[in-house]
Amino acid sequence: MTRYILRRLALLPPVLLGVSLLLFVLTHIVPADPAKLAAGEHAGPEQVAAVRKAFGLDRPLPEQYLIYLVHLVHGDFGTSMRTSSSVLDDLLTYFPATIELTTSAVLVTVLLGVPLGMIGAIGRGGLSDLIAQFASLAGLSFPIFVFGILMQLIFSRWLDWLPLASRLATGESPPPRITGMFVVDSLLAGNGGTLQSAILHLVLPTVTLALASLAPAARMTRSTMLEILAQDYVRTAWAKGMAPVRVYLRHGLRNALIPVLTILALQVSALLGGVFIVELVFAWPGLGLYSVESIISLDYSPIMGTALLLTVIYVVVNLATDVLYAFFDPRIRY
Amino acid sequence: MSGAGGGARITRRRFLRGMAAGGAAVGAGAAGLGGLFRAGRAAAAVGADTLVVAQSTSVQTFDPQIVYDNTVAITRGIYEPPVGLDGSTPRIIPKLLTSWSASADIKQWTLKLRPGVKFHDGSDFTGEAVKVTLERLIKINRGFAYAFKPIVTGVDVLDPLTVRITLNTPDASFMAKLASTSGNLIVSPRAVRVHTNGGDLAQGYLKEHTVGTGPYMLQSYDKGAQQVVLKQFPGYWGGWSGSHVKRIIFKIVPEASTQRLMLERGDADIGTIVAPDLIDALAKQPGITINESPTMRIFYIAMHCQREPLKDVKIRQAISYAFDYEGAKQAIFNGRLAPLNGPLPDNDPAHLSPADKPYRFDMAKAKQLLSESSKPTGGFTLSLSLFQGDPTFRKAAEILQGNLKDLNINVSIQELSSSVLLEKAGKPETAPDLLPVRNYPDYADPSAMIVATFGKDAWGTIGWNFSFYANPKVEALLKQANEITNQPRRLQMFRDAQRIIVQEAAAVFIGTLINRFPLRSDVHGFVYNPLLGNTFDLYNISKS
Repeated sequence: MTRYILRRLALLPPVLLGVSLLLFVLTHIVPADPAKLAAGEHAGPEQVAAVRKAFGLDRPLPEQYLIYLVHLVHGDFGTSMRTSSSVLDDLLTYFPATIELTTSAVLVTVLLGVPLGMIGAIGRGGLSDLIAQFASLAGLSFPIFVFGILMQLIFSRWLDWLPLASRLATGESPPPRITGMFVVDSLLAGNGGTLQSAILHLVLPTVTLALASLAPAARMTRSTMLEILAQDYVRTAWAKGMAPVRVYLRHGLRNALIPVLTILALQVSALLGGVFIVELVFAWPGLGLYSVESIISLDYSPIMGTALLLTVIYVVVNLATDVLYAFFDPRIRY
Repeated sequence: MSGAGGGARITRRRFLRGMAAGGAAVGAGAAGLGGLFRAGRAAAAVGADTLVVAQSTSVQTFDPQIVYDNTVAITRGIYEPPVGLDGSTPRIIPKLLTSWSASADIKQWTLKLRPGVKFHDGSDFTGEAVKVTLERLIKINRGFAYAFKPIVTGVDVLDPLTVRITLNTPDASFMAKLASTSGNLIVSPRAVRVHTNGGDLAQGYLKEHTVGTGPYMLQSYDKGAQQVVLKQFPGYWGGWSGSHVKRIIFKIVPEASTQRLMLERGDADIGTIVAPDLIDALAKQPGITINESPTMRIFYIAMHCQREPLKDVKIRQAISYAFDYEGAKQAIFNGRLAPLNGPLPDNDPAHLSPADKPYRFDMAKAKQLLSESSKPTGGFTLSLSLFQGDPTFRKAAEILQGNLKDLNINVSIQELSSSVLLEKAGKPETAPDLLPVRNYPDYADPSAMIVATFGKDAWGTIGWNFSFYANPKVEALLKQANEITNQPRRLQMFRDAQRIIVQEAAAVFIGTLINRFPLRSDVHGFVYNPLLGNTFDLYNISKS
């Protein structure tokens, strides 16, 4: 297993190399001049040339790419032309917020989606199945953007139960930075007030983000469970008089988990895509706003840095899924 | 794998148990939500001494010599220019200067500095600060540096409170340039000296730290929470005897609908939304007022004067008559649009009167002009490019497209991202025939807008002349106007230059924008800056 994981991880550098080359080409063929945008409206040719020189954009493209790679190997993700900040520092600032939101959405997907699918399969055709199917279809049909605004309207504007946006209340200071995830950091700092505020602020964006992935998780669990519950060994378990909880959880759910895991892994990728929209709606200061503003101003280094970071996450999530397969099904070996 | 099987099984059970425990925890958490909700509401409240502004874009940099975007809304509370503007008018008033005078040839400006002004770091404001600021601006050469670098040849400190600036050309608009909220914001020389690292003129430090003379100082800038907190500077030269807020919090909220809900809930006191429909919806809400202020932002469609068929002035004039101005005002801005009779808006002292702009929506006149042109029956296509995502540009383009159909002129519309469009529109060879533009002057002098929009040295993105218009008579008038300080004569020259531009129909002049800021009703003393889109005076704002 360890060798398998190492082998898979060894593939990461070539994948990153390929992605970086592709991104470099894609960003540089856009017919626009980022130096002009960074120098500001009304900037003269001399001002633009100075910015171009300062950021090495006056060198030939292959040379620029090689310089970028050399810096990357040394852990330098470059400097933003917009803000003159280190991209690595920016990623370390904004990424924890995105991870916090995505992780909580994955947890909600697993903790709600899988039981919802099970309820549907167990009570097939009944009221519980109908409700579960309706809930998951609703999740598939709503655009995230609309659902987010709806959530804000209902739970924040009308009911006044939850905060509207942001990670903390206005004027509230963040907990001492350890991981950058406010829930974790306030827990580690033992700051109950900030923890409460951080959790409350997390609720609406989490539910919004989880909605789209909840539906596929519930539907996959339901269909796989239905298939498994019709198997001979399940009938035998019933015949032996086994308690329903054991039949559903041990014989049913455990065997249904492999396809469910596959769907969940795919959903993590989808969540990372959807999280950007949710971040904009909820003024959640993660990678969303950062990357949108970078793309608008064609700020090469932040665009590359964000994309490479997401590539690493995709690869790691897929690897983790493969490893989890082996956990849940001892017949799978690597 | 088989050897590890037993261990793996135990782990699996543990994992499933863990999942069950997690489910139980979620249940318990749900049970306690009621209490959390109640406490959450209390935590969101801020007092009447704190102003919360929902800001649409994030902070690029606080560096007073680089900042050249919406962040100015924040930095103008921290830093001050030498002179300022009187309320929402373009009239120049003393700020860090008490008086100023020009030499007879307008190549030397002598500035008298206000005594008793302190920087946030405790140092005194003296002539050295003006010298360091201007030299730093010119050396860094970003943003508004374009207005100073080509003309400033020397900054001499004559005594601690007197500075002489020498220019290589007469410039009657120099004081207006010093009143801008970009570039010439005075920075503490001590801070620049102490924090300069490897010849960077303290750029690394001033990116996220501030040392100005303004009424507010930076208390915190938290990127992770996208929140900027300003607090009162106790040593501010203007004093704190009037009505002011103690803290100002800028929350970065990019989504307009979220800003709207924040205002409705009272989570924000001021929004920076621009969408007319959302502002109309907010106007109906209790506890919200809409501040309507005239701006110097003009809205027009540039016409490419260097390429056929628009090279023919008759065709440009025909198009100017074929545009439905009143219909556009209603359809695009719900009727809230001030007149525009030439390149300058009505609140500029050199603006033209309605009698100077002959163009009204008159298809008969348009057809007559077209029949006298090089393409008497039309039958050609004009390219029109749009800045992506702005409904006002799209609506204006569609209205023009519809109107020009009646002249047998086809308009092909292409929507592009701003970076791609600016590159394309930057050169006369690749620029579109028609380009809807919103433009504002960088400084409050008639020359700023006319030169940037229709000057021969401002073609494309060097200025903002997307009409690629050039006329020697206009150039001569602009040059002369900058060489004299007699204001009535200057204004006359600017009007004469504009009349030529309007007569030659370099653009379809649609209107001047009216800025509408949604505010909570308990916000007082809101004074809008007419130059920049989203900035207002922070010092005089208070809450009741």
